[in-house]
Amino acid sequence: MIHQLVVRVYFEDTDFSGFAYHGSYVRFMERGRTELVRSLSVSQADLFERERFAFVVRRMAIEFQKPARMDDELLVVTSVMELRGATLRLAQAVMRGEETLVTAEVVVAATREGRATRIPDAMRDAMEG
Amino acid sequence: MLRAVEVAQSSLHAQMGGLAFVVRRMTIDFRGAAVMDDVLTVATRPKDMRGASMTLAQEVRRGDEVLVAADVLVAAVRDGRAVRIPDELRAALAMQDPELDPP
Repeated sequence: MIHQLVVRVYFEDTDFSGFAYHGSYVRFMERGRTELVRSLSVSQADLFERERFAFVVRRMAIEFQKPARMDDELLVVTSVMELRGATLRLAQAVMRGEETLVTAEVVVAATREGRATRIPDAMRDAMEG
Repeated sequence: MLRAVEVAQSSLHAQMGGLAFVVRRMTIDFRGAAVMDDVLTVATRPKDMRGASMTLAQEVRRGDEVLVAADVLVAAVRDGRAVRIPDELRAALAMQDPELDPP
């Protein structure tokens, strides 16, 4: 499945260079992942409260190809590349129109009470769609 | 780390005609979680040095425990274009790690 989220770059997202601070893209991509999970009708807050379930980021490989500027309207594209029992690998891209600014591969693990757990079947089925 | 070798990014920018470092790539492993009130140490060392870029190996530690490890590739740029890392900076960083290839 592929998810898209529009993000605007504000002054608070930029650094002394005038471009978006590299850490800002990490936050934008996290929003993309959160919205992907929300689109599966899953509230991460509810899951945590009921079952102490949480997704944790295990690994990120990020390439910063081109910089964004304040006022740019960006698109965070997130797709599921691999779905295993307890982990998920996502491909993300931050686009400005046709231009790819940043790409990332993110490995996320499902945990319950801080220990590895199986990704719930309902979520798995929805992601495979 | 740059400040430890007596280089502040703003000085680099001012003295070397607008030189700045930009992050090109990061590979980050999140091994353990920090919690509020933890005191962490960020250890940074140069791992690889090229003409216009260098890789830094970083660890975020809580005592002896490595919580996060990352390799970060940074490139030297001036006016948005890749430039050679200044020799005095290259030499100062090489002193931090004798195993780095000579500039």
